[in-house]
Amino acid sequence: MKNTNRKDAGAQFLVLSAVFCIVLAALSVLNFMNIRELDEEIRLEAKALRGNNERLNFLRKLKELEPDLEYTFEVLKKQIPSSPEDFNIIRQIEAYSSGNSSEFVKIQFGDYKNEADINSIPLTLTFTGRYSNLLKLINEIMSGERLYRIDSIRIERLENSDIRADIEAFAFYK
Amino acid sequence: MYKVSLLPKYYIQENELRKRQYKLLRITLMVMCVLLAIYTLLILMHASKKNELIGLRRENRELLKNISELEYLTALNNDINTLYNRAKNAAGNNPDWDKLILSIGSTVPETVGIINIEFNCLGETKTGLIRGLAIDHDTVSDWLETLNGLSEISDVKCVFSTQSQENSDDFVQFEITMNLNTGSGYMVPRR
Repeated sequence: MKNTNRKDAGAQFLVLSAVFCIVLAALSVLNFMNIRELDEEIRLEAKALRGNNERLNFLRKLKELEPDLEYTFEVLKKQIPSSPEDFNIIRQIEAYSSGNSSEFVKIQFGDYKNEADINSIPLTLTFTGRYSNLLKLINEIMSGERLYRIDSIRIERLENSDIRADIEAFAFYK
Repeated sequence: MYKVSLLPKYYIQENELRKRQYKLLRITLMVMCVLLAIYTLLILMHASKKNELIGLRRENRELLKNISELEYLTALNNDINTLYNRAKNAAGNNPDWDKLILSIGSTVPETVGIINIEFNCLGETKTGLIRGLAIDHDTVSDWLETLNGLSEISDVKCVFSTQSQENSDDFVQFEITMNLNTGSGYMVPRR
């Protein structure tokens, strides 16, 4: 009787051990799969981290350039204003001309052209003055507050030592 | 020599069964120990990976917070790019007028008088025309040679060089045509 009990207990213990082994194996497999999933998540997270780091570095560089960016933005807004501001065109050209001792003879506006993302104002300008002053004047028009595109220039010698410049240009607005 | 057992047969069988059971139990326990060790190792690895992931997520959250604080700069940069491209397209690739006029003007010989100069840019066609008076044909040809060396213009040609009257003392009238090279393009005016 005693012997049979010992035998049963041994068998039970064996079965329990086997079940425990199976459970452990199953848990190990589950854990292994979880680790693989974690590895994938870590890979994705590390990739996102690299991307974010690059983005942050880029933004930090922009931050260092912030005063320049703000200045450029303001300049560009003035280069192509949101309305024609033709009164400002006359005022600017007059200022450039008198600043360079040239005579601002004529300004004539053509028909405004509306295009997809920009509108243009055709201008015909006439100046007289010394060659060197007209050269400075053209330079000032090209590098001034507002954007002008000069498409044609006609320079003619006048009877005195002055010259006359007829310029066809465009000013722009949004 | 013979191995003789006087024990009853069922007792021998039971003994063998017990031995086998004991052996099997030992093997099972060993396997269990190995599996337990593997499981423990995996749990430790899992915990370490989990911590790594939590650390990365925390770091990423902080980065995103910093990025969001600076995100307005991206908008500013995009606005600048949009405006810059618009201005660049509007300005086109016409010649750098000041450089062009200056470089032509600085080569005019003293014995040449300019009547007029015309520069026209109609789309891709950019041409120039100079009309003037020179003291003789040689002066025209020398100037033509100099003009050919300027980087702002190309394809410089003399249309004609002729005396106004059939008198060798008279001035030579000439006309020169050229193509204008594209300029450096639009640049944002600097401070």
